Amino acid sequence: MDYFTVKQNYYTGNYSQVLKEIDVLGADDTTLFYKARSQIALGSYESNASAGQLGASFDSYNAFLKSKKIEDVSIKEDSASNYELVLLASANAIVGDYETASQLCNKGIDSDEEVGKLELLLLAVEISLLNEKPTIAKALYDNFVNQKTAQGEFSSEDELIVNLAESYIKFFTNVDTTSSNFYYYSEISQSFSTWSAQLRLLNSHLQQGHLTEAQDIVKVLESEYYSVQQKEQADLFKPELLVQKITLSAMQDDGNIESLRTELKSLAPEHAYLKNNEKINNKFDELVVKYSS
Amino acid sequence: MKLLTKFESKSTRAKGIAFHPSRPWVLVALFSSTIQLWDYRMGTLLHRFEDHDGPVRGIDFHPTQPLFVSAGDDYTIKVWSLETNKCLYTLEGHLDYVRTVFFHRELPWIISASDDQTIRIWNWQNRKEIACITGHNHFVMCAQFHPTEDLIVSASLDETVRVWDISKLREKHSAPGGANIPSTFEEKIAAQQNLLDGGFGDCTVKFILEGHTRGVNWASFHPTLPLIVSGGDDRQVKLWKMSATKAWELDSCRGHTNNVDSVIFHPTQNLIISVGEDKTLRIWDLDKRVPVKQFKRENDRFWLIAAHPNINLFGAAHDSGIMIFKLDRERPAFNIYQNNLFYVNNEKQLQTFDYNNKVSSLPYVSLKKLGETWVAFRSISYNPSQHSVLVNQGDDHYSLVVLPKQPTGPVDPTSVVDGDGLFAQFVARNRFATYNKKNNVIEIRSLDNKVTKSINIDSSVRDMAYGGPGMLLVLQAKAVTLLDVQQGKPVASIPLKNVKYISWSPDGQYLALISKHTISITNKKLQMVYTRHETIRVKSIAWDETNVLIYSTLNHIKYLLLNGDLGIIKTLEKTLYITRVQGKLLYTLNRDGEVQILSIDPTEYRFKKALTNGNYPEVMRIIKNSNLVGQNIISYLQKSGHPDVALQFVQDPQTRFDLSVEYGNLDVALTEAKKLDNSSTWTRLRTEAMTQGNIKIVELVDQTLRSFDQLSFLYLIGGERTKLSKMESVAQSRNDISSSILNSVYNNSITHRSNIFANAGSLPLAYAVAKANGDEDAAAAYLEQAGIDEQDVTLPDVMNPSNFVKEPVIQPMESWPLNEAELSYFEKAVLGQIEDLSLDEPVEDESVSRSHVQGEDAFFDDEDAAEGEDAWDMGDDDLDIDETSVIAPTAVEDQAAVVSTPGLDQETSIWVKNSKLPAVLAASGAFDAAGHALNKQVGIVNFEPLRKYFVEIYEGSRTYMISEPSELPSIQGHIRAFADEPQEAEILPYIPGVDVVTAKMNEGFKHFKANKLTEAIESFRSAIYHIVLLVVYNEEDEKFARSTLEKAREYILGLSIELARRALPEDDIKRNLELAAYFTKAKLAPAHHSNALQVAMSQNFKNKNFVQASYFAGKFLQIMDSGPRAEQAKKIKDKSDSLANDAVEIDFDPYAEFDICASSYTPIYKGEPSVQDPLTGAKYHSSEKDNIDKIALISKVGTPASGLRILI
Repeated sequence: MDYFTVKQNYYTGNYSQVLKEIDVLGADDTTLFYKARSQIALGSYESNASAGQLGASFDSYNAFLKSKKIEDVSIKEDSASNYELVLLASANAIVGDYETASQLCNKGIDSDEEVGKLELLLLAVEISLLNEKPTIAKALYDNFVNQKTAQGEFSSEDELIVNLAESYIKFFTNVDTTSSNFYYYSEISQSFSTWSAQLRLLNSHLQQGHLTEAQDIVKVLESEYYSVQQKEQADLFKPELLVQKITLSAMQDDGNIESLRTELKSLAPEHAYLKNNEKINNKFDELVVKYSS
Repeated sequence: MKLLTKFESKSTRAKGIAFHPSRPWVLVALFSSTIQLWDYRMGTLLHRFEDHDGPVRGIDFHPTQPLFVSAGDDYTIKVWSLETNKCLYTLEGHLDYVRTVFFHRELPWIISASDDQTIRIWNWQNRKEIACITGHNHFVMCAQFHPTEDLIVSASLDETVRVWDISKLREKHSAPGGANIPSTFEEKIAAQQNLLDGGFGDCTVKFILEGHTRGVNWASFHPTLPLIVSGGDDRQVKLWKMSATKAWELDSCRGHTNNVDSVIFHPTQNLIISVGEDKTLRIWDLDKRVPVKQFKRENDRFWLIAAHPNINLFGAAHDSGIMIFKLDRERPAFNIYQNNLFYVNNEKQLQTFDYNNKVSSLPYVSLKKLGETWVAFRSISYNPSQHSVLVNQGDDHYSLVVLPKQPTGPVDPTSVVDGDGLFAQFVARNRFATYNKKNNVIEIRSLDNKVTKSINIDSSVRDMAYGGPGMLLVLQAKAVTLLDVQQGKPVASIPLKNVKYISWSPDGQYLALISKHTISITNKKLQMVYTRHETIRVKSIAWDETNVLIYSTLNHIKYLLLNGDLGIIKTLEKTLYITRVQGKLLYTLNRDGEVQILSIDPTEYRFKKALTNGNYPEVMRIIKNSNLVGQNIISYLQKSGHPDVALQFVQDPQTRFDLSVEYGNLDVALTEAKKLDNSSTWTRLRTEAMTQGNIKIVELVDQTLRSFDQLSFLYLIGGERTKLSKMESVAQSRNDISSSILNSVYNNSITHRSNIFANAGSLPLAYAVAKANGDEDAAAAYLEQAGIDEQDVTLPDVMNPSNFVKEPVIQPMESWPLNEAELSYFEKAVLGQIEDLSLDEPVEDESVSRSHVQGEDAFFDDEDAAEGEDAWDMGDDDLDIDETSVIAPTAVEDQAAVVSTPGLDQETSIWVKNSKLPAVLAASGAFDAAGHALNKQVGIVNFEPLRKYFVEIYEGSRTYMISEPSELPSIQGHIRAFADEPQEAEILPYIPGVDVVTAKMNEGFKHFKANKLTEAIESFRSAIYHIVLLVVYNEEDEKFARSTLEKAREYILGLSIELARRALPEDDIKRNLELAAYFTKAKLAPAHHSNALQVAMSQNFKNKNFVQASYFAGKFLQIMDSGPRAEQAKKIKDKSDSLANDAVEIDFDPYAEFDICASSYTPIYKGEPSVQDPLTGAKYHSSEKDNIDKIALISKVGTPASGLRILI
């Protein structure tokens, strides 16, 4: 089956289109995986209990997302398919257990099962970065790509995922920031007018200190086309935009940062940014106390 | 190298060929005795010249005059006029076939070579032979002047090439006294004698070049070097070199398999071109004397090769006509990326041109070693991600060349990857496509040249071009296909033949495609929008910013709008390749591989486009600001349905009338009709008015034209009873019987009508009318008048009264009720009914970025001490300057430590390793270390106000990217000061720079001006906080930051004093005056200092402290000596000086040296003990030691400190 369009839409954040594309394709684990993932992203998950083991696993993963209790995930590590490992590892990563999450990913990557391996690689790379271990992320990526290359050509759909994994590594490690990594985001945003494509390009501009360009993208995302016509995505990605606006505001001290933080707190109180913000404020408290005595 | 044929003629054997220097004309001398004149660009035969008797062999255009010369086997030389196409005269003298004739480039001379073994020189002005050069002892096959020197080269079947010196001939014929025109008999005899001696005296043989083993057919000089090339029946091409004193054979080029008949040097490249009877045309490398390329005709022997004198064209004469060709492409390879043009110059060096700054870069690399020497590159494709170019070498090879970061000159590239394939084109940042001709597949390759994907193609590919992100345009013989590279599938296709070049519109919505003679515009899905055929070859295309297509043909620059409107913008002398259009500038590459910028007038197409799009303000603006007039534009406007716009252009009443009638503007039409005042105009106006139901104008026209009956009818149908009855009287007075009858019918005037009949002699009709309408008396009177009895009259059986005219159902109607037509945009504009209509040319946006280090005044660009009205209300309204109160009350309105940094990640560890500046530590999250550093450097102990700045610096150096899936935490990336810093030791975090400090200061000044002092203080304080956590990279910025800190301190001090003054109780006059005086001690910019002085001046004057008031007034006048505020100051000063006493003694001695304590706002006189703040440098009485500084509120006064470090 040709999953190219499905994956292309999924990884550019065009989840509604994924669901439409999947309707055309037949049902299998891959289509179920992307369908359920898209539904989760859109906040419109529908039970897949009737869709075999993977369907049930998704149901439990969805329950976990609400409860944030890892025991809600009913996936058994030993008998899990790669796609199920993605879910289990994701759940562990969400609760902050990056080590377990990494092990789960590696297990699948080292297995003989090909389906879902790329998805596991991407996740493994992300988890390593979240765990602040970029060297491991890079090694995982290099090994995988070398192995694949030795085996033959990459398919276009493989390339989509591999490129995204590579871009995360480069973003995290500040490699090729002004050259190929920027053009990666730039190409995607030119091809797909989606929120996630624009947000990643915005990341790249911020990372390059391009304040004007960054401001332009913010304007674009707040324009009617993105904020009204793509309301579904706008709602989904609004917190991410706010976080980027906070960075932009901090970079030029335009005085908007407080109101942006307040808005973010109401929309996504669990966002990594806010956690970090709290952490550094606590750190600052200590500084204030130290010298006030 | 390719031979690109531009034109071919079919005829009998052609022996000679000559190019016109400026027009696209070529003369062909035929063996059949005819001379043809062709336009090789249009492919048309312009004329045949038939006057020679027998074969014509030699032919040449005059370089400047409308003349040409021919010669042939009839022994004659003929000079022809191109104006009349007639032979002007014939030069006779040769005694055998004449082989060649050429004009001298400068002198009025013709040189001819003949089988009579002579070379002769003729003056074509006086039509005389001036030299007969003998020496060759066989047929002279060719003789030519040197392009710049007084030399001749000749070739003869005597197997020699000879060089002749003709300098004496020049001397003789340019000597004063007109020696070249003999007048007396003796002179003529002498001239004749001289001619006979001729060649020996004035034209001497300089070199005899022997080497050919058979007869020599041709010899040519090199255009610039001392070289000669010759060709002969020994099948060789020989190269000769000469110095001032000798000449020698340099080398031979062997390869022709039959006689070489003609050989020339390439005018601009180091090449030799020869033709021969072996039916080949051969190109040789001049430097290496090796064959470069050869072209063969199947059946035709070549007889002559000629080069165009100015452009890169060649012509060859052969057995069945001629061919005009060029060697290789002349279009420089180029690629545009954003604002840069990447192009290959004629030296095969890659350069860029910056469209914004309009400058070319130095070459990045020399690409000379790529591909074959004489083959021009076909195309290049630039990859910004890798900073590399793909060079298509013109054969089936390509090279991927990584460019150096900066252009330093034509160096050899350090990284080149070569490959086999055609049309290499980047399709993504890390992929490019090539065409494999053998397997008919498009290969997608990675940057290390590995094939990652192969896409099969149905028919062969002619070229490939950029198709948008991830897309490739595949140009095939009969179609253009848009290919999705990732999916390997075509997504759209259009059947277009032989498309050669494409251009995407700036918004990516349209695609222009050109083939040799066709321009097609499609949308991005390759659906046809417009197509156009051009008779002249289309060479290049580009879109302007507004989606107008600008294209160049061989000789024109034209425009094409999406609706098909087009026109010529400019005529070109030489072909240019447009690369970009920006406003009035056209950026092109010429055939010398140089950027050429042309200025064009875009008015016409902008006007048409604005009109088409209904952008009427733009149309009006263009009308107002341009000189766009003329019949063309008016007829264009009419044709395009805009007569109302056309009306704006014309004054001529007839045209205005025509246009206004066309769009139904009766008012204008009436005005113009009155001016024209002729019946046809009035009639047209009447018809139009009638159509619109405008009775008033119809009436006016009828009155003017005196069309009474029409007028009566008009009144009738309009119910105008009164006017109708008047018309009856008018008809009567005009004595117009038929009109009177008509009017009597319209008016139903029975008596009147019967009277008319009676008076006109028709009593029966008068009787009938009276009888039918029951007027028995009148009827009887008519009977009596006729002298008959009633019984004599036979009346019809039925007699009805005349009641056919009905009463009008409505009251007189003036005009047909029409909806009030809204005025067109243009009418409104003309009537001034459009608000905000700015018809001035938009001024080019010149954003001048102000340097933050311009000096102190840099802040005050928008502050004007004299002009600026600010919000400072001094409360001076009640100043009693003099008893008569001459002052208008309104005038007052004008107012480091080494620290451990645990918990850092990889990136932040690098930052900290590279710098221990407080800001870097803060950005790294090492707040404790940063705090420690600030405490040691500037004694900061109160960190709370800095929280925002610490946190923002930390957060401004991080950006969060959404994870996949999005429920995972976002991945944090770091923002560096310089994103592409290659040295790890230089990597530092992004920290807002001095721009932010400048912005905060300017914000403070704005608040100051608006008299918002608390807010101003906050802004200045914020500037200080930013400086505390600043990183600068040069001393200039550091100096700026430090001086700004002092400036901020002074403002905070001054404004705090002023705020304290304003907070005082009204009766505390002494303190009020002191604080007003201390405010003036703050070192503010003059614009603001004047406010402080004005406060002090006014307060002192008001409180009768005239000495002080005079002092401040004087200070004020030093800053500002004109304007209402200065006038006020002068008056205060005058008045104060006249009174010269102080009512209140204050603690302020303007002539003493003192500082103001930033806490108590009292003077610290010189020598008094004081302490300073380590951060702001503010002075305090020593009692304030260890207190928090009142300026920035963060540091401890009097703390020993090492000083703020901000420079990297």
